[in-house]
Amino acid sequence: MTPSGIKATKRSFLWVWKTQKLWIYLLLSAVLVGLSAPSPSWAQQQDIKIHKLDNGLTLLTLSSNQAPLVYFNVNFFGGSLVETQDTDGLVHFLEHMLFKGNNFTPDSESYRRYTDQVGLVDNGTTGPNFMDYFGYFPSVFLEEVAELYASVAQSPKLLKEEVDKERTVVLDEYNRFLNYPQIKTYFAYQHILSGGRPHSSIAIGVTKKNIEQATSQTLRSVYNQIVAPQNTIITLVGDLTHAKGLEVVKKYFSQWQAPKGFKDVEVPKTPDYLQSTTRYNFSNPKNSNATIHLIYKGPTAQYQRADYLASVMLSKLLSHTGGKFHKKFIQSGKLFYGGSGGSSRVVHLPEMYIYASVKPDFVDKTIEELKEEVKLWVKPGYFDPQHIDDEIRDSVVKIKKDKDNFTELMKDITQTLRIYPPEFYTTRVQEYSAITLKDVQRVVKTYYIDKHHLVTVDYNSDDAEQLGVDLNGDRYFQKHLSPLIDVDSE
Amino acid sequence: MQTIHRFYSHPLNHIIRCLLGLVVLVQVTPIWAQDLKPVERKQLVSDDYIDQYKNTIHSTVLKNGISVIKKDIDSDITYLQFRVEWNSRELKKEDRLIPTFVAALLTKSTKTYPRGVIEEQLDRYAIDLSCKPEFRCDTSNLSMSCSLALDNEYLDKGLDLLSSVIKEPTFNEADYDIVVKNSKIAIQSECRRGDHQITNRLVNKIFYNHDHPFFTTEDHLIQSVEKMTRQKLVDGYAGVFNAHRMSFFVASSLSPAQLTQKLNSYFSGIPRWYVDIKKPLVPQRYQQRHIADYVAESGVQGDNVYMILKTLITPGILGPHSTANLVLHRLLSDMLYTNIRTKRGISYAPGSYNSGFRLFEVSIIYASTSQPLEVLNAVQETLKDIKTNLVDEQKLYEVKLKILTQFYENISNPTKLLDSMARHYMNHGHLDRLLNFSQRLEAVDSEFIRTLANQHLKNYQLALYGPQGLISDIKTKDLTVP
Repeated sequence: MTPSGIKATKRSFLWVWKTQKLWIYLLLSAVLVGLSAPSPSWAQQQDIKIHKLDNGLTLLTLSSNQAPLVYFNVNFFGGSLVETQDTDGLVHFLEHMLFKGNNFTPDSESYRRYTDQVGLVDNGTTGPNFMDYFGYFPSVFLEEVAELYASVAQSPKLLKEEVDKERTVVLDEYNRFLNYPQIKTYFAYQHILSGGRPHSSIAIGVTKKNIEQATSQTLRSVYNQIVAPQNTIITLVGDLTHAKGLEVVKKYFSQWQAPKGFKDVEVPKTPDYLQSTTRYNFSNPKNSNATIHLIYKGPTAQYQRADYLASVMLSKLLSHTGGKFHKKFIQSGKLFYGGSGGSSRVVHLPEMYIYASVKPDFVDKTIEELKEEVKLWVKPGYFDPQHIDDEIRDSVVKIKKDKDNFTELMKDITQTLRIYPPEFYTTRVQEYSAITLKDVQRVVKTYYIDKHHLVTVDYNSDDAEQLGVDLNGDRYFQKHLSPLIDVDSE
Repeated sequence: MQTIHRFYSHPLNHIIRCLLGLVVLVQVTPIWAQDLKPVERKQLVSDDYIDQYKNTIHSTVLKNGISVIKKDIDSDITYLQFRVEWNSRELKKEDRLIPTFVAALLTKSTKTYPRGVIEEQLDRYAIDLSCKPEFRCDTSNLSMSCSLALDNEYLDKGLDLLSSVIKEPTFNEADYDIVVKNSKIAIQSECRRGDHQITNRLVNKIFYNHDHPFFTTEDHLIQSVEKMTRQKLVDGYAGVFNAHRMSFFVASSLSPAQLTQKLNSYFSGIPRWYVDIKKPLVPQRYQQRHIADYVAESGVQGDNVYMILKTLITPGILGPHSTANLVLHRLLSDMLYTNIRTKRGISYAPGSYNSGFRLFEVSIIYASTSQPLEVLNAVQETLKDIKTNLVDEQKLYEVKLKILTQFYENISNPTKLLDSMARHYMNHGHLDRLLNFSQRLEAVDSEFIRTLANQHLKNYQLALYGPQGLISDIKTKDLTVP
């Protein structure tokens, strides 16, 4: 799945974007963990309806005639954030098991045969805040897919033999994830931010032995924590009417009741993170330049939406090609790429960051320059108010484009639901359009200026050796994360 | 009237197929047959859906002979793709990056819009404008393209920018310095991105002669950077930016006449002269080989081996069987997934795909696994199955259904549609294969799939990439590929 929030198509300097995307690909990695901050990706507002079933299930329908297809997404709030160290990685494992049999299609083969017969192209995702499964198919098979998807949610079998078979696949995916060049950085900084509880924010899981030892029972207990109608949002998009969507969902989902003893998902208490400023250096032979991140506490999209939207606007202003930051750092060639971003998906560990890619011998100087630059962001004249209008215009054009494009509409809705409540669809343009320069400056003051932060730098291994860099980040990873990953080293 | 699913929807066919499907299912998976009835087949779209769709596509020619293909859409946005035939593999190895650098610099500055102004204008009017190719380590670029997407309110501004970008780029020295300075890093990032690319590189080692135009490595690209000069870009641009090589593909609510008038006003001044456009070469060395080669490389962390099997099919998409090849590979991918992941659970994402070029296609099977020999056995079993047995009609129907689902998804996306139209038009000179895709798909039968499988799925080249411990135990003799 395409990482979200990368508005870069208008830059002709393509490899900058490509290079930037590498880091974003790792961080956002929507396929596996859905971690970071998409820009608010706006879809059309009209023709969306939100329905509530008696059992608490929320249904969002959006009618679009771009293709004779329907997109069906079933999203549960609470992904890895419900995990403890003992269940680290098991929500993701459970997501895999949803495709491995239920009362309607009793095993993985029958599930697959059924999806083949209705032309369903499907997948699933797990993030810190959510787990979902979804697919698109010819609209004439809406009833058939609804019946299947209802059974997936309500009666997954979690058979032992299927768990054993899928374990290898989940481990395979885990191993692939570990091969990303900047994985050490990602694991370590989540470990630092979370106060030693990285399992709540890393959806793929850190503790390998949990995957190796998962059983039907442990997966069932995870299922009972998050899969319940009142914790579910279903989205139907495409070639259907609102009435038809509601009728079908009522038919197959209205009898669904929560597991006995189900409790609302509780978001973990936000730890007292980033109480000092520290720097960690990491290395990997696959890194091709030095990548800097200055990571600060940030607002969450769920609970501090105005601040979050202002932080998104800030990142857009920094990347505006007419802006001072772009001219000074990018157009001049000082940085390969750079700007700001933020993570909204980890509700209990919101962060904002400034990033830059530079030649390795410019790392120290660049860090200092960026820190000084942040102070200028609140000065009059640094940002041009006209650029806020440009960004709002751009977001409106994006809405129109999404309306033209079934694929983008699907992505937009999926990604937006992972961050915002469904009601946000009806107010988002107004909310975003209301952001002013003062809001942006307030966010800079609140979250950046004189605030403690974490600095991470990713070096190429040879560069690090040549420059004599103290690789304290690698050591941190070795001490705190390696034992969880490699069970043999314990 | 032609319909895409008349064949499927004929009542007699439907009954026969359901019965046949049931018999097969009973034989293969009794549990399934007992628990679930096959899903009733349905007509996916109305009889006149495709006919109506075809009526929304128009073609015209500008005053200087540039072809324009236009799709009507009901939208405030206009999507436009400009293409120039420029096969980077026609160039000497050291010049391979010329199209990439030209693409990167076109939108940097022009005579009308000095440095920095184009980007600002794009941000001001919410215009997306980008040019390709980007850096690629292991594929060939047959053309250069610039894509434009913008609100109709700013169409004239966007066309003026695009016209300036195409007709009067300045290849500004300062931008040139930055582009070239940054490119080594970008190349390294691209070439080292993802293990599948590394395995691709390994396969290329055995797939092509080292002097073959398609054999490209990170080192070749870096050398190309080192030998690059600004003058090469200026000359390369001047040599190919000729109306004879150009075409436009547009999706818009403007009428065809309005669009033609606008494009003529901005682009009809581009000069035209005849050139002999070379076709890409088929890798000759491959055709002399009859045994599977094996390349292994260790040195990664983790517990996975990445494996790729690659073969070559000629003729490629210019040949008559490209739709059938697509079905064959979807079927193969489906069988691999079932045999390797669903039944055995020994790889996360096994599959296959075919990558089409004009004169040949490359067929690839891939998997990442901690049990490479077991996966290889399953691959062998699957290949034997597809070559020996006729695929049952139900399975063939299901594969076609998924292909059609994705086809509808593709043509509903203006950007993907323009890509498809451009590819078809530049390869075939017409859109017939795209517009009649569903009929061609319907005509593919099981016997033909088996014939194609026997004809094409052979002479595999194999590459493995993984940690020392998993690789070193594997011997060449273990890797016999049918």
